[in-house]
Amino acid sequence: MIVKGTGQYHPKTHNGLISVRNIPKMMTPAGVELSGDLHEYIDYFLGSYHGGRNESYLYGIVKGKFYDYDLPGAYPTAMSLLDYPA
Amino acid sequence: MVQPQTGTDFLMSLGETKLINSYTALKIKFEFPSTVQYPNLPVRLDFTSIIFPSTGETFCTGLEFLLAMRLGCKITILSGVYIPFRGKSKVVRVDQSRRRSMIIPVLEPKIVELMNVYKNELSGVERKLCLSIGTEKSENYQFLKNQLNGPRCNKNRSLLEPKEEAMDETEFYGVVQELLDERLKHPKGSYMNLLYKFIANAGIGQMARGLNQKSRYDSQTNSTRIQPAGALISPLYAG
Repeated sequence: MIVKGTGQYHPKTHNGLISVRNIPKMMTPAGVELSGDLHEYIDYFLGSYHGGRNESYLYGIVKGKFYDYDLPGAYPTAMSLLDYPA
Repeated sequence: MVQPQTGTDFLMSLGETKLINSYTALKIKFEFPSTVQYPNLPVRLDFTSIIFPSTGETFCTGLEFLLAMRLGCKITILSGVYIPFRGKSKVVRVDQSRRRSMIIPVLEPKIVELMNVYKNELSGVERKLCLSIGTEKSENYQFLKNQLNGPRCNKNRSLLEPKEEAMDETEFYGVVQELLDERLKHPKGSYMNLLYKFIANAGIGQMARGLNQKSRYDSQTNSTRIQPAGALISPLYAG
């Protein structure tokens, strides 16, 4: 392999106790109190996460030209634009 | 945290570039004009259904917000979070008259030292770069030249080559570039080519793996179980 992991990407725990890798645990009384400021922000990002949108605007037989748009390398491109949060 | 305000005020105060270069999540009320046939803001009805209505209340990311604003949507922000990118590299305008910029990644302290010592021996763009960094001491001019023009600097291109368009290099840029370079070594459609494509695509999947606590089939135990979190899980990156 060329790309080698450099260990833990996220710390196992936040504030020494609750980790972002264990979201159900964070949504408990202890989790909210022990996760520091994290619980204030994480709701917004969890709520705004949706999967890809697939929708068919036309049903049945379509006569004529049919266009299928595809972005080459969309996922890696999007990923390369992500930066560390300040 | 983002205070309650109208969408126009938020966009005016922040600017489009800052909004794009940030992790933003907002809780909003929205109303699309009747001319918009396909609104882009999702609203959850229940655990399994999502619709895209012309009015409603929902959570959205900064980019969804921006698209909706461009479609002419009236938005009221109820609350939200705005986290700007850290920005690892800084863009320095080298030649004002030719409007050229160049990228200076965060350099190792040793290179910075070398550059400062030998700045009088350098010329042109290299000299300007050195002068912009500061003053300190060091040892080897050849080492400096190798560092500046060697393969360690930005993979294929020289660090000192001015670029027409300024571009920030982000955290995942190197990984993605390495995977794509490796992929292009193999002919299109071959096994290794597809494997590297898969690895590159899988990276973004790992960021969202386990976020929604769904049960998935697990081939190891031949049963369905709640998917555990991925190594790169982060609601920020996933959204």
